[in-house]
Amino acid sequence: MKKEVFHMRCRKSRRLIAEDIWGTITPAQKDALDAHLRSCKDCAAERKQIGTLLDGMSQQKEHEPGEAYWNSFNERAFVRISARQREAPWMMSMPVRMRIALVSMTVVLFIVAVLSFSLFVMKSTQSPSQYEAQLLEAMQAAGAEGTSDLAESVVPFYHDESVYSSVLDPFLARSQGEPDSEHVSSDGLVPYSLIEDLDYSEREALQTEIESEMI
Amino acid sequence: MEEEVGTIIHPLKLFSLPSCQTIETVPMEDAAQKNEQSAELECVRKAYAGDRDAFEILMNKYRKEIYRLAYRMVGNHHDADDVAQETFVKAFLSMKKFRGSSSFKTWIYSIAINSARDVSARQGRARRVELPLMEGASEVMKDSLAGEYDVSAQELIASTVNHLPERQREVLVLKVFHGMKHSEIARALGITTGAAKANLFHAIKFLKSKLHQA
Repeated sequence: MKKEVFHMRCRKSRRLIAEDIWGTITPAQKDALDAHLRSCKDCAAERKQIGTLLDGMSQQKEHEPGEAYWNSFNERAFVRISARQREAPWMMSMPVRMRIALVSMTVVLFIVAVLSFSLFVMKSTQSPSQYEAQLLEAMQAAGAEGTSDLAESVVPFYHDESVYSSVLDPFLARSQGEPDSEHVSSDGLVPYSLIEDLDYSEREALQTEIESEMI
Repeated sequence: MEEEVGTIIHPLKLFSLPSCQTIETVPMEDAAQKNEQSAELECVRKAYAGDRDAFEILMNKYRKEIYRLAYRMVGNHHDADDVAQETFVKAFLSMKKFRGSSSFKTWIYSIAINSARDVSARQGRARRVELPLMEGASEVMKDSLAGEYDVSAQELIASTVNHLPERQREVLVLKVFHGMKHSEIARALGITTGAAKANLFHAIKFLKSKLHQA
């Protein structure tokens, strides 16, 4: 038991030795340490070694770069500061949290923009055959026959929604049971009931004739 | 410029402070020391508002300390210069982050230490691969115990310090070469005072074991 207390004292004293050399221990701690060092040769030797070590470190000379270096030091620092401010002057003046928030918002907006653009492209890249199939399906549902030529002729204009809709919508309306008399041809000039029995070339001839009369 | 500076409210809420022009001329007596601290805070307040002259006064006061700290941390003039320059650039550009919870010295020391870590990491310096000067260490240290330190003993100590683990080296350098208190070291490194003391104890233990091994 006595030996154990002695070791505890040694451990504690060794933690205090450097503090004692720097003069940062309390008077009570110093008294206790001095008493222990008088009775413990190992700790006394330890103190001497640490004292020598710290003494040697404090004697080390500092590296001195010279007067010319210090003469240019401030100027070089301000050149760096100015360069850094030019890089992003308005951002540099912001607190870090605000900068992080700004960058995060920019990233989110960018992602939203990319997603929106992707959806738009996906929608507009529906293939011509898909439009043709859609139109034919609407024609068949409306009971129209022999109209594949019409569907084919409209396909090149699938990207123009007004042209495409003007052809598709009457068939859709007809397939839903609306009266023919309310519908007009794809160009909106001729009531659909007048042309539904005509084939494509006859309709085209009729349309050209009507247009020339209008002009 | 002076009028502009006066219109900005600094979070430190410093009023009626002495001119920061006196910062380097005040002797280190108790009252004068307080005056110096006040003058320094006035400089900090002006620098906060973008006053380069005030910041230059702070730079003149701390540049040698920062350079020496950097030199101890990175071990050569080129990198030490880079660290010192970068420290003041970062300090000026982030003055608004300084809230006065610690002294300006502690704050700028923490910037310097972080800059030194960045430089060390960037260059991937392998510091603790071998201890080339360890042969004959005990003889050198035994000789030094008997009398004054000679050049070889000093080189040996410097080399051994460079091989300490990073945190221990930082604590040791701040304590031994810059005379900082444990609480200041803790704030500069962002650790507890207890951790600072423990790192210092282990650093000394490491040095002693390396330098006095039989």
